[in-house]
Amino acid sequence: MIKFAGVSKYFNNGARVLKDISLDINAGEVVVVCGPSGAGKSTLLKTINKLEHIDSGEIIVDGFSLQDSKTNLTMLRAEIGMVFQHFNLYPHKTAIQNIMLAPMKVKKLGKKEAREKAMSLLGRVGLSNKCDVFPSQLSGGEQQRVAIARSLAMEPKIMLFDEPTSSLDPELTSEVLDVMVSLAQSGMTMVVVTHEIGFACNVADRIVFMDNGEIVETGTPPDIFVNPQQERTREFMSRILHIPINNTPVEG
Amino acid sequence: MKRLLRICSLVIGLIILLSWAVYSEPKEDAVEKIRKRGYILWGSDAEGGAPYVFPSPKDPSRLIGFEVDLAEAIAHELGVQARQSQNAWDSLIPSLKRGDFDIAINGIEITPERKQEVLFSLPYYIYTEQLVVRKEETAIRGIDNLKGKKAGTLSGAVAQNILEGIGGVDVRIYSGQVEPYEDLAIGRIDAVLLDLPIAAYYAKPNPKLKYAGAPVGRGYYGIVIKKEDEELKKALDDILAKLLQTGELKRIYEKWDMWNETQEALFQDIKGSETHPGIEESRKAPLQTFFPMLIKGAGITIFISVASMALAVSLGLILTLLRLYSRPPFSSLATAYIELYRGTPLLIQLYILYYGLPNIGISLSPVAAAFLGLGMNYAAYEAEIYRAGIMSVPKGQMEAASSLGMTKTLALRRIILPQALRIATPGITNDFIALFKDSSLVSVIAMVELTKTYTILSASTLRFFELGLIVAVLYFAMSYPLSLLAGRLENKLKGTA
Ligand SMILES: Nc1ncnc2c1ncn2[C@@H]1O[C@H](COP(=O)(O)OP(=O)(O)O)[C@@H](O)[C@H]1O
Ligand SMILES: [Mg+2]
Repeated sequence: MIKFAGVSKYFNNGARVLKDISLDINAGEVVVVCGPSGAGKSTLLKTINKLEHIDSGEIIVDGFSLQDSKTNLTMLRAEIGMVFQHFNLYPHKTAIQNIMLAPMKVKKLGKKEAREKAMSLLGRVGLSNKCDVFPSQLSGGEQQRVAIARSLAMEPKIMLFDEPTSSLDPELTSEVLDVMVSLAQSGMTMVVVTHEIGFACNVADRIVFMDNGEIVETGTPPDIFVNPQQERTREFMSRILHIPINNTPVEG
Repeated sequence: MKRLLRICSLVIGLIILLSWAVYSEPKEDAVEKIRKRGYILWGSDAEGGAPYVFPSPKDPSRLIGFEVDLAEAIAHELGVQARQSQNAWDSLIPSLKRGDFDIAINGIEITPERKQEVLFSLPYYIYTEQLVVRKEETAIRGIDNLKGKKAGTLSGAVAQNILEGIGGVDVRIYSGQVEPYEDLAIGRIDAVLLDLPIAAYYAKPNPKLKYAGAPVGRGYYGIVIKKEDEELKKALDDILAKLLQTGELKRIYEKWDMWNETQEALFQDIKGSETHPGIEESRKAPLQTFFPMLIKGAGITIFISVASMALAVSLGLILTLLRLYSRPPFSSLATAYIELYRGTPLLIQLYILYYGLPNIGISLSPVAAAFLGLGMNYAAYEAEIYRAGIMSVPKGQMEAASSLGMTKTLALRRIILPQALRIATPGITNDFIALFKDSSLVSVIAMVELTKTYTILSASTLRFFELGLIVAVLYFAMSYPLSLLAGRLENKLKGTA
């Protein structure tokens, strides 16, 4: 479904943020990306819908190469939903208007149809009663759920999540994670940048650990969390799990 | 979408206005044209003052003066009405040449230099220059005593040449005929040399001033006509000769107390009886007689401000969008426009639009020039306000819209601009207040708005203080509600942020 082949990216100042990334993500797979701040996780995620361009290599999404000028980028982006750390809801539009806009303007859905669909999605994320409320009057968790509904309204084949819960209070985190879990169970292809270990262990098919622009290690949740092969992974995990570094792992 | 439509219709309206302003009529016989039209348009400067052309103290919306009488007598002979066209004295000849009016009558002396540019009718008045000094002055008894003294006169007048010809005189140039006498009375200068009609109206009634010696010099006032309007000149010469024979001219001059022996050279001696209103009457006229004119000026100020602000906000938006989102030739052109307009004085821009463009064949009406001048200038400032607004919309908004498959244009229109405009609104309101006050600058291009009305009225009445206060109150009454609105918008914005 998503294929990275030798992808590298530099920023204007010459810094290399992605170093020769190769990764295959299958349809229906849930991949969690983790790693220290500044590792390049957000950048990696944004290359999938070309919010960030790349300097070398190739990315193929749903059979279309992002580097091929014939690929219809707008169409492809409509198939890839994205959820941001800071929600990025349109502040001047109500919850339901946030959801209805893209289906009406991009997919040319009629207003009535768009409205019905938006209402059912709000129901799905448990916010039927908030449809005419502006984002500023919603809690963080509610805003993030509206943002997820907004992405789902385009009926995407792939969903990207960039630290969707890291700006939320702990008690609001679970309401967002619940929605994500049910989405994963429905068979959605998902790439999720998160440090929610519970979510990763329960839902992820694979964990990708990144550091310094590189993929250091990939594996199943137990592989990465319990028995990491690389020193850098182990250090990072012990820090976020708050356990001291103990026995030497089996060298890979 | 609605907003975009509105901008489009504004731009179209602007183009129509422009083409109307630039459109010039095909050539035809000037006399024919005037007769067909039913009125003759004569240019003069009411700010120049009495006794030439000035607002009547009884009814300031009406102009009076010996030249008003002359213009009406001429129009009567032509079988048409006379309509005055207000214009700064300095620019009467340029404006005549660009076709703003048919003739100019405003104490314009016949000189060889001017004859190169325009035609003159037969002289209608022989003027002399009168030296005026303070009552207690004893040293200055004539222009021969002026060496080493400060003498005031009008810019471009024949008196200026006389003063400069003496040598050793500290010549002070004024742009209005009131100010030199004011300065003389309070001792800033020692003497004033000006045309006798001016001295007769402004200096003679002033108890602090007196005439020094007999009038000097001799010159002729003539009606100014465009070079190509030979037939009109002939018609005017015939009419002047007739007015002279019938004694009509002399009657006008006697009414204005301008008759003297010098004029005998032109006219026969016939007695008239009317008397003219003097400066004392102007000084005493009740203030409310000036209100209708001031209110009308305020109306024009509002009209021109609102129209140019509409242009500024729409053109400003286009400039910002070009600057931020178009390809290099256009984006840098927009940037250059913004920098250029912000980096040069509005006054110069107005002069170039109104007096400069005719040199390359584009002649704008005063309204069009004022509208474009203010609007295009403020567009540069509005563009910067919009840009700040757009920049302050978080980057994530564009990312969210793009990730949903919206094109950049769609995202700009539906997501970025609505937020940016909301942020920009208080700044735009503040600029509107500033534009409103800057609109007084368009008085230099023949727009008689509130400030120009003020200078015209006070030049003939010398009531700069009272009228100035009234005009200030009027400006304040118009701009304060806008300030309140700006404040409220700002608070509202803080509330929703
Ligand atoms: N526009 C940019 N220009 C230059 N450097 C950038 C830019 N955006 C991000 N970076 C740098 O790229 C690196 C990776 O950023 P990011 O993908 O946001 O990391 P993560 O999401 O893993 O924290 C960081 O070092 C960051 O400072
Ligand atoms: Mg990040």
